[in-house]
Amino acid sequence: MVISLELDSETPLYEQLRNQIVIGIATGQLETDEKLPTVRQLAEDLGINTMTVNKAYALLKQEGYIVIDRRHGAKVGTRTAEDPKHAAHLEEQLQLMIAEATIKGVDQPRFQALCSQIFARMTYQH
Amino acid sequence: MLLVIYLVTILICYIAMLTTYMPQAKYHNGMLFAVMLPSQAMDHPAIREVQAQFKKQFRQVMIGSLVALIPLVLLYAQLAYQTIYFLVWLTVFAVVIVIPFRRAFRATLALKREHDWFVGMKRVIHSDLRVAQLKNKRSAPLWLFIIPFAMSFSLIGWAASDPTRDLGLPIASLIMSVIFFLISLSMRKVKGKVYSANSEVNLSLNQAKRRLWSYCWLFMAILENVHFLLIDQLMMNENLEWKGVWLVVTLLFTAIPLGIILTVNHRVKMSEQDILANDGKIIYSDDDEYWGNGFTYHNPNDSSVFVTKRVGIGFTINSATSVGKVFVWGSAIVFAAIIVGVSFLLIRSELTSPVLTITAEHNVHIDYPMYSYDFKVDDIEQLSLVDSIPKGTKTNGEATDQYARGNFRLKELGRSKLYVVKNNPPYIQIKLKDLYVFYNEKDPAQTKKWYERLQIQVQK
Repeated sequence: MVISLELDSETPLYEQLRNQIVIGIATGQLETDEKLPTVRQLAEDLGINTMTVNKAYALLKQEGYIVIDRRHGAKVGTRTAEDPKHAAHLEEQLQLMIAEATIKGVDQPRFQALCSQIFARMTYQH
Repeated sequence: MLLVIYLVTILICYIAMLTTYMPQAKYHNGMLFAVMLPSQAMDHPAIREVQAQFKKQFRQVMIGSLVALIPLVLLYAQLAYQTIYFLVWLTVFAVVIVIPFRRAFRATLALKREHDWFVGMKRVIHSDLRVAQLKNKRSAPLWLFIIPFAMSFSLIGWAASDPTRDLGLPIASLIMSVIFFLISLSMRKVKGKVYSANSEVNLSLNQAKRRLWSYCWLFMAILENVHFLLIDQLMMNENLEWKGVWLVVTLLFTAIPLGIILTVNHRVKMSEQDILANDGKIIYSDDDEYWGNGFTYHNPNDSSVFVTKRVGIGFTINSATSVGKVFVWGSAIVFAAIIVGVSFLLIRSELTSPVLTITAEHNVHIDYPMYSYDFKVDDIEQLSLVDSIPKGTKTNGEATDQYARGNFRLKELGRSKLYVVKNNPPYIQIKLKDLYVFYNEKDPAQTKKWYERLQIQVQK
């Protein structure tokens, strides 16, 4: 999959990288168990600091999206069981998003239609 | 002879510049004059005007530089000044030839800003995860460089086993192997290119490109070793016909590598075109702002030192990185030092001639920059005035069509020191213990006078 990082974005580079890999896994662009480049390879290819890539990988590993093996490097993680902590976190994030949407005039049907559209793109299989 | 080498070098530079800059006036790969433009911009009259201007100016520069070659040919008899003129011509050519392009680049960039013709996203960096990981998978493995290194070391070992042989060339061949090894090493680190949103396309193009280039460098390293072996053999063979062979070898070993590089570049370009023509997901990114002059790359947001050129063949250096800065300034300093140094040496040898003196202590002293020599009159085993000098080769010294100064190895005589004006007999031949010294002056009468003086000294 192609990673595109915006240098002028307010989102820090490591976060953009992390977000794109998460989306890549969910949309099936990155398959389960697919090998990822090493921190050094990716930093070299993007022309950014290795620390930035390292931070993104550490975050992804901590959140369980990827596994890092000392011998084989990084690869996409296998499916994870539903995490109650994540559900709480999701509710919190959604609340903010829906609040913002309501103020900006997006009603429930439109919001849900948008959600279904995005869900349809996620081909990740459990 | 030298003129032929200069003219071949000039021809290569000339053709290279012509084939690099001339096609820039055509809209190709989304670029015109190394500026990313949308295709509809090509119909704008201002763009057409820039193209016409460029063509006119480029033609003027190309013809002008050809005219400037006339003095080089006319300086045929003045070897030192010819060489200096050659170096100056090359430097001026390299500077002047890019002027029309740079003007066109600036004009196009200004038009682009004025009309807001941006293509793709600005200030975005791309990387394909699979390319980043597997880009060198099909490249020539680095261990294959054992072959050229083994060749260089055997050449050094062979030359070292014979004390009369010079180690310069074998060491130069080792340096060439090291250079090609370093080129291969740094090319592996060059970032992969993201052509398309399709990972398959990116991976196959990047791998194919790297495979071709990596084998190209390996082959060149081996070829250069063969080249140095041949030169070494030609230098050893004191054959009268060696000049002709040498010319053929030089031309051949210039043409072959050049042909290989051009072929590889062509094949890479063709496969890119073929595959991308059927791919609807091409990714463009607008990084014009990092390409100063259209061909130099300065991007502080990019940590890679080598990047693929936008104009011409191969790679350029990111002058925003500290390694890049060292490269740019280092090569500028080395280049200036070579030009100034070579010119200085050449002018000095053109203006000074060897001076022979006999001191009160019965010593003979021949004074000449870098190749001065002293010997005792008592060491002279034989003194004679001869009308010709045997043919031979220079081991360390200066040899032009007019002069021969320094250390030579002559046929039948062996190790010799020459301080002579060529084709200007007579020559004083002095035989020392396992060494011959030849000396003459421009004026034959002077030479005879010195010979008589030396004779008196020897008889004392």
